[in-house]
Amino acid sequence: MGRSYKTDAVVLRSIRFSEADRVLHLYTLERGRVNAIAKGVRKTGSRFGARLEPLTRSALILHEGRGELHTVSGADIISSQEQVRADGYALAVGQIGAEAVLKLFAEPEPNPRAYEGLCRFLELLAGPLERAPDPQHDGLGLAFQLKLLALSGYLPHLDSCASCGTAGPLAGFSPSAGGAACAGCMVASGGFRMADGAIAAIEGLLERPLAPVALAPDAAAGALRVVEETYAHHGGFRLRTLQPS
Amino acid sequence: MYSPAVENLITQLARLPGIGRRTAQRLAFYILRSPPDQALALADAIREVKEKIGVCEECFNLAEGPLCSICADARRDRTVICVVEDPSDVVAVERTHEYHGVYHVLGGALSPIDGVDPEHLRIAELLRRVEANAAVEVVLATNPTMTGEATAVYIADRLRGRCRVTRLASGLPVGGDLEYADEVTLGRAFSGRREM
Ligand SMILES: [Zn+2]
Ligand SMILES: [Zn+2]
Repeated sequence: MGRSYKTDAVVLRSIRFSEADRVLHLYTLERGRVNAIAKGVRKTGSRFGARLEPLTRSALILHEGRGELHTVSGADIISSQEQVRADGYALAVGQIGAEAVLKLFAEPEPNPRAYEGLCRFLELLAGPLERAPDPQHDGLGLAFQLKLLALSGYLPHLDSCASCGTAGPLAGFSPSAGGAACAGCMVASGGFRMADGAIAAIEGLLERPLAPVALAPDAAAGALRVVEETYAHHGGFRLRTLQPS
Repeated sequence: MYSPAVENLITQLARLPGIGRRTAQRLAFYILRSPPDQALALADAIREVKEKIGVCEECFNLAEGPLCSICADARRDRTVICVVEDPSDVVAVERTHEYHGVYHVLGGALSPIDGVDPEHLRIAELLRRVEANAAVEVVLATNPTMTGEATAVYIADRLRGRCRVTRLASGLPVGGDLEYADEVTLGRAFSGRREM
């Protein structure tokens, strides 16, 4: 009964489940979002060891039973992200990225580009970063979230007013129109004003390959607001990891 | 199928961790068949533990009375504080007989994705205790998991310059074979190797 399959996967979240087990929220190359139980992983002598820690990329063997919860029957680390977990700032950025994937790609449907992007994001996170004053305003984290929005079809329209189409000048952002807006449309659609250069900075993050990047404070604040408002308006959710504690 | 009283007992037993409905039925019938004093002793023990056991005012370990047995023990060294996630971790460390300081139970580990932020743990209380006890060492014994590590890193940052901060070594489980160790565990065992 049931069958086993192999997949490349990243552990996004790990939740304690009964005395010895954990439920893992996985993003997989083959199946998209999958939940799986890792039996015995909480025991010190578990054969899984550190192979199923959050943000770890592993080659997994999963067993598909009758329920929605698959069972992990084998795991080999592809990249552990050990450096990320030892660095509070990088870990916080990583968790923001993980939660964004959880919320934006909630279905068991493969999306190889999203998976590749996630792996690249984690790889970069383990290297040198351009540190912002707090993880929420990190350039790499914001760039990753903007790219995820684009991949999930919520790409903000930035090169002209998303509402009336005028080429400019652009004054701010309109979540309901789904992009940049001229002064008139911004007010009419309940959007918000953005600092000069912030829209261009966001455009830059979307166009360039994913990389650690230092953003001007205005640009980082603008990008964060665009990301949060797009989540709220199009997805109807907020990220817990973006709420300042 | 069963009378309401039996059904209720089965339902209550089935809420316990690791107990399914079939096991709960077996336990319920065992209780029904057992002598009254034995069954009532179980009920009394549950009632007593819920009435008498609270949380230690000092360290947030489980306590019968205002202080837990460790904080009430004058021989324990109050200038060394071992930080753990849960009361069950206190029991685990005590079993080693290696440690003679006191504890601080955080009540979990940091996990922003699950909505657990610093203010949900007893971190402010720990910082106050470090001052009040003039602590010389804080031993971070949170779990070697992502959330446990994140918690240790966060607390270490807050204690920097105030006292010595140490972290339990992590490495190979005793009794296991090297070839089954994952690279993270083995890597840590390597970086933590010692002179012999
Ligand atoms: Zn317009
Ligand atoms: Zn105590």
